Amino acid sequence: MARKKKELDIDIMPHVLVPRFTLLDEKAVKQVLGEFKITRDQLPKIRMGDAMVRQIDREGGAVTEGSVIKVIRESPTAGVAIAYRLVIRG
Amino acid sequence: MLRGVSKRISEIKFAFMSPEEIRKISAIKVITADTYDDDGFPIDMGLMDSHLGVIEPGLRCKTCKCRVDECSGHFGHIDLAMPVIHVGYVKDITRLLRASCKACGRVLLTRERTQEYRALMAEMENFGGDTQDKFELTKVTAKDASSTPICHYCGTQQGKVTIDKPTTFREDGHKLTPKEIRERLERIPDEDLLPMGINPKNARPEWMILTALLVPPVTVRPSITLQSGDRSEDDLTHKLVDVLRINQRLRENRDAGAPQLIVEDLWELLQYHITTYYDNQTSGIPPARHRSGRPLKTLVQRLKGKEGRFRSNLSGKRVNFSSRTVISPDPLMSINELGVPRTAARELTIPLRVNNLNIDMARRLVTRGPEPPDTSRGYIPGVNYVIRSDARRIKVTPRNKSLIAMNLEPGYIVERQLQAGDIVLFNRQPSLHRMSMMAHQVQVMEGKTFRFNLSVCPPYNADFDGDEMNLHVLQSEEARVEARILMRVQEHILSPRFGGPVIGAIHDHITGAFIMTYKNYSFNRFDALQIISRIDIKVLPEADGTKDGEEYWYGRTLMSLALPADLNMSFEASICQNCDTCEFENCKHDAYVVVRNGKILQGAVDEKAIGAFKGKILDKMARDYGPDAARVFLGIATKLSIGAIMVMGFTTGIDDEDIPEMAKLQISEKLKKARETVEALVISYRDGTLEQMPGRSLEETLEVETMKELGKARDTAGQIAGKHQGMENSAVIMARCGARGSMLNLSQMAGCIGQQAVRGERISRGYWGRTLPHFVKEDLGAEAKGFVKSCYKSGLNPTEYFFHSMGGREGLVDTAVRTSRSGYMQRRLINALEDLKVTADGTVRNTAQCIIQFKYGEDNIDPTRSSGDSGVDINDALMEVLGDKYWEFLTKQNSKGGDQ
Ligand SMILES: [Mg+2]
Ligand SMILES: [Zn+2]
Ligand SMILES: [Zn+2]
Ligand SMILES: [Zn+2]
Repeated sequence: MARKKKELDIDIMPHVLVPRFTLLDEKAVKQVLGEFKITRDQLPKIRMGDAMVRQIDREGGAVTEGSVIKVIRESPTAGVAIAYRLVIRG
Repeated sequence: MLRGVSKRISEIKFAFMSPEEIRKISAIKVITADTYDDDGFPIDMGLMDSHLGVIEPGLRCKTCKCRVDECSGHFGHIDLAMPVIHVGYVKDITRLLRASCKACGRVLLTRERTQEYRALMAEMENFGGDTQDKFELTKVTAKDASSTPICHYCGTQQGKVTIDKPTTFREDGHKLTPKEIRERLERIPDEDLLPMGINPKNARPEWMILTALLVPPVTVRPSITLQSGDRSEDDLTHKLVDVLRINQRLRENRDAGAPQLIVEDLWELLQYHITTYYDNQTSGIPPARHRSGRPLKTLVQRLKGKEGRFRSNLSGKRVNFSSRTVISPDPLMSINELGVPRTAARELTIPLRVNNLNIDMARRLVTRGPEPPDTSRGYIPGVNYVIRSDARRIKVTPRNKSLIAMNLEPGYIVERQLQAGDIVLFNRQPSLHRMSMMAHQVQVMEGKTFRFNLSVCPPYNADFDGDEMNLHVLQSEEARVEARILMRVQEHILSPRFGGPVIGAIHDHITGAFIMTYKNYSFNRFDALQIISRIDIKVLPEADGTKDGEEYWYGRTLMSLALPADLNMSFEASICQNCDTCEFENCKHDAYVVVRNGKILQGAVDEKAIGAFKGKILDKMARDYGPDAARVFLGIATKLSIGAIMVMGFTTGIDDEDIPEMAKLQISEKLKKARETVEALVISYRDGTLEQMPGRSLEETLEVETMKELGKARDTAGQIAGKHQGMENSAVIMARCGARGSMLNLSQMAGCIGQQAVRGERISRGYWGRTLPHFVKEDLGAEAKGFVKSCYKSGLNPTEYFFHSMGGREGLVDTAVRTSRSGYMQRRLINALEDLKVTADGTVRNTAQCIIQFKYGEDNIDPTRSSGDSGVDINDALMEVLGDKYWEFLTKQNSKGGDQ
């Protein structure tokens, strides 16, 4: 396979353009899926290779395919906007 | 919900077609390149063989024994003398050749690696990975395999496979014939295909090299008979004739043992014909042409692009019950109405289902026939067709109308002509937003154009310089109800784009409203009644006073008739000068509008009050009083405006740009001074005394300084000219109240046009060191670089005219480029978003019920119902509660309350 890219060990979390990412535990995931009456595959996706996902993984978050991540971002219209994303391969 | 749906597609299988399958579905083997014999009958085993279906009435299909329209045609096939590459698969063939062993056909990976990739693929399958992801994986696999120099299985040294566009493969420089390629692909074992992205159950790679060619049914490529009696064949038939001819010659030469060179040439020719049969725009080869020189339209051309099958026949279709004609204005109609010419109304029909209750009415309708004479009410609808219960369509004629009416039964459908009040859809292209298609109520009229209220021009972006628009008649009761509730013009006064009115007063509406309300303009009884007579209110309000024993009415008193009695608001008018300290209701420019209890007490009503996009009163009416009230308001306000402008008179002419000799001298004096300043700048630039601006080169500094200086000069010229153009000037009135034109337009007409620019810079290109031969080389002065000191009224001198044309051309090119680019952007955006909708729980989802947004717009706010960019108009709310100058109230409270 292709050469493994060298992982950059930089904390990108504090950057102004990076929203807040948190890994949800199984209980929280159940609750979210219940809230919207959906199954996992109906969530928006995020790639495993995403810089923030890798950082969560590095920091011991144990992200796998199928994990759900909560994204909290500042919104010019709503103040705070919350979204959930399903981790997929890539 | 599934009405009319008899089958549902659960999956689609994509596969290559094997030669066996081609022969299996083939109705006949085509061997003759001829089409018809001398008597005009299809030749057996020719390209138009009756086994392939029929296109002539009277003949029967030899395969299914059916007639025209009953038989949809059958495929045939051509056996190719030598194998030929299918252009559509060249990429995949390259990938496979590079990734597999030239000797044993195995994938050029170790057994373990192959296993690994196969497992990855299987996993992706399990997780329901999409085709794009799987394709990416096969590309990685292929790339990995291609870099292996020696086969892991047989140890053969691998060559380098290159491709000569479009269909010639070479290995280390030697040409690979399609036959050799086919043999190599045959050697790839099934187990190695899966990691390469091919499911061996559905496809074998050698099928990408054709040994039999499918011949489409004649119904796909019908020949047409011209008036002269000559037959003209379809482009595809022409191409197939070529293929058959060369195929025949190739077979003969090969069988006769002709020299290798000749066979190879013919083989290549066959490849060319088959390649262009599939895609006549393949890069690297000349397109096959018709005798007339027109390139042939072959398979790919039939499907691809805007005129292709998908975009032109499947995503979009021509429709019945529609009409198109030129549009023209009618200021007396309601915004909801649409004037339809009688000729169009007689063609367009609405189906009326006959039942026990309406059968008498239906009979009366049918008895009228297709062209009933006018009654005292004018136009009345007739009936064009009646559809019987057995779905037979009967044309109603003056002769059979009474008979048909008599035989009418419940279950029949009567196609009634359009009548006043019917709901139809009306559309103008380009349909860039929701408001490009709205529902109108029909009014059948004399004349040949569609007519509508001028206030509806902005949402359609229509004008009357020859624009045409389309009308669609809805055919079901549900559709008509939906359209009436959701699509009627009055429901679209507020735009979802910016939350303000898109439908509103324009041009003369605004001028009229302005001149009747500006500076206490008053009307005598006669004029006031003249204006009022245009609206439904037939009682004059109380007079505002008497002068010389004659009663008079202020224009704003009349305009107040349009307002509801409990309306209170105040805002700055369009003519507001933005004075340093606003004096509100004491504004000496009459630029502060005050409405109390439905009476306009102060200020001029202009674009900011009733105009499309900006009208504050209109906005409030639509928001607080609803679409019905807003429609009525707009109708009254515009009619009053037009009444006023007609009573008062309003005109503009070239003398509106006249300025006194004195002012002209002043302007040229100022411009001369500016030119001298520029001259001085150029000198200081040459001396090196020009002070360089930070972050800019010396040249840039000079440019910036001169642009600034000349810009200032143009503004000064405009100001001088403007001093002599006051509010008594019609052109100024129009510009200031927002009806049409701007003060810049005026200053360019009366003062000075100013610097012309190309690509945001002064004009600099042309001859060596100068823009035109009229100037000395290296002249950096104002005139030499495109400054136009004249005004449009005085006219431009030749060099100025030339520079002005350069700037103008750039403007035109920009708009042309912008529209095409933004059109494509819009297309892509709409294709990506068309299936999204806001669901009941507030989430935005696509048709697969996947969540796109957890809350619509992140805040669940409908922009049509919000104000500007915030959800709630807090200022308006405060004003309602605390009165006009609520901020004074608030500051008082604050100072009392201390540190709140
Ligand atoms: Mg036009
Ligand atoms: Zn048939
Ligand atoms: Zn091998
Ligand atoms: Zn003011």
